[in-house]
Amino acid sequence: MEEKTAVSTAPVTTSGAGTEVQTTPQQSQWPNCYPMYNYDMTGANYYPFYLMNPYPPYQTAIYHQVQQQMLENKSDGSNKFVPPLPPGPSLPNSLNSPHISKPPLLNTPKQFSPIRFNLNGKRLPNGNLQQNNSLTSGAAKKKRKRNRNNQLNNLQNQNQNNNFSMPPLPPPEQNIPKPAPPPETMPPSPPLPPLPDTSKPPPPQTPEKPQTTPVVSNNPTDEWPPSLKDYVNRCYAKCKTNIDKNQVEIILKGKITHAYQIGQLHSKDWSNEPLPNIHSERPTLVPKTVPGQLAQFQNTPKKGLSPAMGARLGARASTLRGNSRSSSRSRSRSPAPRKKSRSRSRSPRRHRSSSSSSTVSSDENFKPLVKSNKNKIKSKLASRLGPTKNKFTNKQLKKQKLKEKKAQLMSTFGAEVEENSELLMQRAARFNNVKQKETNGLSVNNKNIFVSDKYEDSITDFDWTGFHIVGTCQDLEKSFLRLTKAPEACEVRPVEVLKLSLQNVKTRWKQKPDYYYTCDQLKSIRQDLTVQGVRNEFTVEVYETHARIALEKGDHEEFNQCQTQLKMLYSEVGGGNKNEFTAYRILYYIFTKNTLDIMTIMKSLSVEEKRDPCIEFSLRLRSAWSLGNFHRFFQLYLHAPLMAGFLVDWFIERERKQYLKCIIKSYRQNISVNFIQQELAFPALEETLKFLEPFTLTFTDISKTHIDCKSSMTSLPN
Amino acid sequence: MTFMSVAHYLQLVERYWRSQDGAKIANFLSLRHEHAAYGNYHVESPEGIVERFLTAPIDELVILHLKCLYAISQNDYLGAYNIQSTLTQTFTKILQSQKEENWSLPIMYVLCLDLRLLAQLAENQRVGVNEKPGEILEKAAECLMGCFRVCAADNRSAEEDTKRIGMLALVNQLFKVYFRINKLHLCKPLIRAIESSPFKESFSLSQQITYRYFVGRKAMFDSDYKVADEYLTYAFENCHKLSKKNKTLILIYLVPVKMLLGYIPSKEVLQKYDIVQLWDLVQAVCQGNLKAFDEIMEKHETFFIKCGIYLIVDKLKIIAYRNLFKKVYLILNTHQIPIEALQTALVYLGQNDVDLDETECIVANLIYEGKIKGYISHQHRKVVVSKQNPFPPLTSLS
Repeated sequence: MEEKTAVSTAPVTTSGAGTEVQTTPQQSQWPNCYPMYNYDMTGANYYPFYLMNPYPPYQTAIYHQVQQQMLENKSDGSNKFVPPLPPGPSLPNSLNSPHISKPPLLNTPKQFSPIRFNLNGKRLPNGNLQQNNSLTSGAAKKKRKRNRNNQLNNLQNQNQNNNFSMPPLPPPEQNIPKPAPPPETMPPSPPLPPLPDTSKPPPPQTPEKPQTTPVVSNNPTDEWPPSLKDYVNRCYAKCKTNIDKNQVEIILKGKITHAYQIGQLHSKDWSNEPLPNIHSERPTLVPKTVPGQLAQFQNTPKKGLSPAMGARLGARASTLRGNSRSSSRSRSRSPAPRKKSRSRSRSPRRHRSSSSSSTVSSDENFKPLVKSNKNKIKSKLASRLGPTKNKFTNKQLKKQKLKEKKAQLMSTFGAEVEENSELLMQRAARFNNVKQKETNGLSVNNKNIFVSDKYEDSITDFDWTGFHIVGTCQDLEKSFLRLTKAPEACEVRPVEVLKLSLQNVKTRWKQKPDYYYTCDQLKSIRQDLTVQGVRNEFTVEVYETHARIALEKGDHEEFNQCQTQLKMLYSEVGGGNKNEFTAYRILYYIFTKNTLDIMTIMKSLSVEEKRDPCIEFSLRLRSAWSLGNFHRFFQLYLHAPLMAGFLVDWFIERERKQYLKCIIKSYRQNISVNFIQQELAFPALEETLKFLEPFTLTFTDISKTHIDCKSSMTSLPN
Repeated sequence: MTFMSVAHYLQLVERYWRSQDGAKIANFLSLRHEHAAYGNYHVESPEGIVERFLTAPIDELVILHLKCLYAISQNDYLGAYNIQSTLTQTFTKILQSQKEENWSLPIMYVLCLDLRLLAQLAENQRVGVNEKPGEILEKAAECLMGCFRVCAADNRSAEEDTKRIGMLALVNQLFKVYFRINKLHLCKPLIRAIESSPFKESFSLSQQITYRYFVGRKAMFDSDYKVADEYLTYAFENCHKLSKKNKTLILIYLVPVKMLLGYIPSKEVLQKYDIVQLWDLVQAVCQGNLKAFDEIMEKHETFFIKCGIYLIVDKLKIIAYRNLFKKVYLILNTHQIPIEALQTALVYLGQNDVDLDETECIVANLIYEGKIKGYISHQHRKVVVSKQNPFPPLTSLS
């Protein structure tokens, strides 16, 4: 067969078997990139946030929590007490969507777990507890995942619970109060910003919160002493807003659970119990933002925090600072030296909880409250962090793997190694930068300003085609990395550079056909073109080049991508090789046995196009193929024009088997291997024998020159 | 319906809506009903007048309907499609809110049908090169799927009130879209939904015929000829005799399928339904006249391709080979047929470039498929056919 590779001067002689072998490693290689997708998607979803964020990161973060919290409440629908929207600037609706979809579910569970901690002030040996610990310790990531699932379940239970307007009593057996999760924030914690407000509202909260956790399946109200019922009613009577109710609910739950656990439920003098301090009664305070806070929050260990606190706090927090917005990214990315903070934080918390656990005097409550409040915020942060972060870490892992892989790859072409690793480093550095910036509490916004305005309207659906940038990158080579956000001009190469890049790739391919490297480079060229919205003859050339190389190397996926693009490109900008690639497409459909699409192509072919040698070949091959005229099929194969032979190679094996079956079934007594070789279009006897080997045919003689058809019948599949 | 003022029309709609007369409302919301032709219904902004007569939710439907009529009168099919799409979606919500009742299904049928027809018109109308062909139809399909989900999910209502009875009509609309945009794989879940439906037999006959026509066609494309035969035969036999056009459509697919299975249609049938192109083909195949066969394929290529039967008709050539070889066998009257004789016959019938090996290969394939009983002796270049029934009737195969 003749190869008309623009690129390949060194034709690769492809016997069917040869190609197969080559294909496999590379195919196995690609899938490894795919894990990135998940991450990408999150990235894309989150991305809009950062852009839109005119607010200092700290506020944003909190705002998001709140927002999220509310969303969660809403979304599960079972929770009657929905914290009202924060008075601050309302977020664009579109913001909601990403949040709802992801983090809440996962987070929520965590919110509850911390509550348990405080319950008794002592740790109960408990499965859950341990899980939590492991979480906090940040040790086993896998565990975390499982854990989260568990928590998720809990959460669901929890939600059901929340349906009761009355705080249900926690059946002691069930939810074993957990040892207070270390207030991670506390130890190293810089000034606590939200303190002022926190102090007021939920004095009793700290102790109680733990109780929320217990999952009560039966409504215990019936067993309550009348004084308690009365007390509860009075508490609720005080409420003016949903926030109040929420708050009161928490407080009550706490008190009651506590009383129950220490056995005072009936003995306690509920009528003298002070009514909880509620939100509406306290003047709203606006926390000042302290620079550095964010970082601190972010540093909080993501997992160990009491989600419940956070969740609950959410409502209050929201009222406190209406005007905050967050870059969720910063949250998610924080590298978190969390082990430290955690271990440190643990002790103080315990301390506190024990102090507060006994009685609920408002005074006492006050202090813990502050802490708790802070904790909550953090915890919320943390909990939000949880999943995202996890993802992040996953991503990191994957990235690393990828990198390693790439490095390996690179090492295969020696000279490249350096350059590429450098590139990779740059890439890595870029990501690190971002991270750092965020963690520092600096929003990354300015970086992407140029996109932001165009962006706003298409937040929900991230569409690269919406805006095109013009690149400034001058690198000749660039490794392909799936974009997770809007590209930056400095990372994208303009067309002039790309032209050189393509040339470079081609030259290299000729010198040393290394498919991994080439494919990688071509993909990145394609990406740069796409990002810049370049669709012209050059684009066609790039895709044609890649299609040809993929064709030669048997990379079905890349080929299909290229030919799909080419189909569109030809209709947009035309191209001299249109017929050639139409012919390949027909062959490709034979390969995939997609007769319907073959029909569609045939419908669209004009008489002139049908006369094109390449297309004509494809059509004749198709005819022979569908009529079972194998002889003609293989004759045609031997005279395939251009690169069609490579494509036929993709399914030649399949057809050979078919023909072999046919021959063995219809010929008697025996048939010479030479004949088979000739009919199946094998270039040499060895290959024929190699092909025949796996069928365990019966030969008439030891030298294997003839096949005994009749006795070979049995060894044929079906 | 005679001419009536918009006000009168609105009053009637109101009355029928209150009495839950789905069929009447359906007429009034149809783009193909008489009223659609009258200019006084082409109102650009009908909100004012409609609000005077109607209340929610029907008012919105009527407003959109009148707007749609206006858009059509302006020849703006894309705009009309968009309005109709909104209309359908609005109706879907109403439908969903109507628990335990299905009187409004006729409205759904009409809206969905109109939606698809408009989508087709819009598809043809637009000029932009950049837009992907089939995009509008795909969106229409999504809209239809919305309705379908509502119907399919209605499994609490009693049998006489269930909306699930409306599924098949929607499935048929979806089939029409999917066949048009070549997305046959999307049909699979729909087919499964219908096949597993408890109302499988209680759908209306006309819908069932349409359904089987499409499923039969799909089976044909999947090379599942037995199923194709079964479904298409049902469709053909049950199709009303006055629906000649539909019967013709069914026959176009049924004939090739039947022929592949060894049944030959009578000339009368083909003449009656005006597909004489196929009769020539039938003759060529029966006689094993490859020359005629090739000519017909070339002559009617566009027709075959347009109908989507080119590939399957192409396969009839195998049967033509078989018939030709049978003739040679009968003429030679021997069980050992020289390959050469077969090759001569092939060349005589215009297959000029066929050599001995290729002839052998063709025979081998026929033997492999069971169409000839016997074997090839490559050494002697002979086909040795069975003494008993060497060319078994095709109908007896598999």
